[in-house]
Amino acid sequence: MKNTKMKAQRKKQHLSQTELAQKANVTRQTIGLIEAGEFNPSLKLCIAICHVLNVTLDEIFWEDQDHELEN
Amino acid sequence: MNWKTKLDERQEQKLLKIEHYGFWLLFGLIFIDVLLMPFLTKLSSMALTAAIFLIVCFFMIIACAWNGIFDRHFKMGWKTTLGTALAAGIVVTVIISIQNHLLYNSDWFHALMAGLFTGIFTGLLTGIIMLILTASTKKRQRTLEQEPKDED
Repeated sequence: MKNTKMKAQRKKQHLSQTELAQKANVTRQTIGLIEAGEFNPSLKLCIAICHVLNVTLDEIFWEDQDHELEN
Repeated sequence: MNWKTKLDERQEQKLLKIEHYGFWLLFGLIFIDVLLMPFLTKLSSMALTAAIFLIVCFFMIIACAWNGIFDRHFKMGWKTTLGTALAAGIVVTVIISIQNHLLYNSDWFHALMAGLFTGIFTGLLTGIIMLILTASTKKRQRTLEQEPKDED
């Protein structure tokens, strides 16, 4: 399941995947895979990403049940 | 020495997966080696075991380099290259020197000289292999770290 919320939030803040990766202390590939829904990050990494994007966990990582079923 | 991992959590998971496959590859090949042992001469058996070791080493190196992973604890660079080459050279020098002294009854000076000769070449060869490995891993990392085209 693609994480479109995270991608949208990153774009909103004019950050590239590389910039977000550097700030969250991970590789660019890791951010790319999280956005593509191919890697499930740990809570620690989710929090680090939220700190960089200045959002809460709910805003970018929470999926409504209806939305989950659609995907 | 700082033993903190140099990898992020995705790379750590990937490395664990490579180690998992490496273990089962080694397990399977050693099992075949054990089954074949009664039919082989001592020299062939030693060669087969060495070949299995090299196959698994080759698999691990290629799999790690392909995924842009160098090592969990060591950083790519001249320090690691030099350290690995020195360690390999010293270990081979010591082993060959002792072997020469015990098996061929050489005096310690000549045993050590012969050991040093082998050790220096092993160190040089290890250094060259490490340089090639570092360059190829860096190249692969650069490719993996490129932004996708739709990301501006």
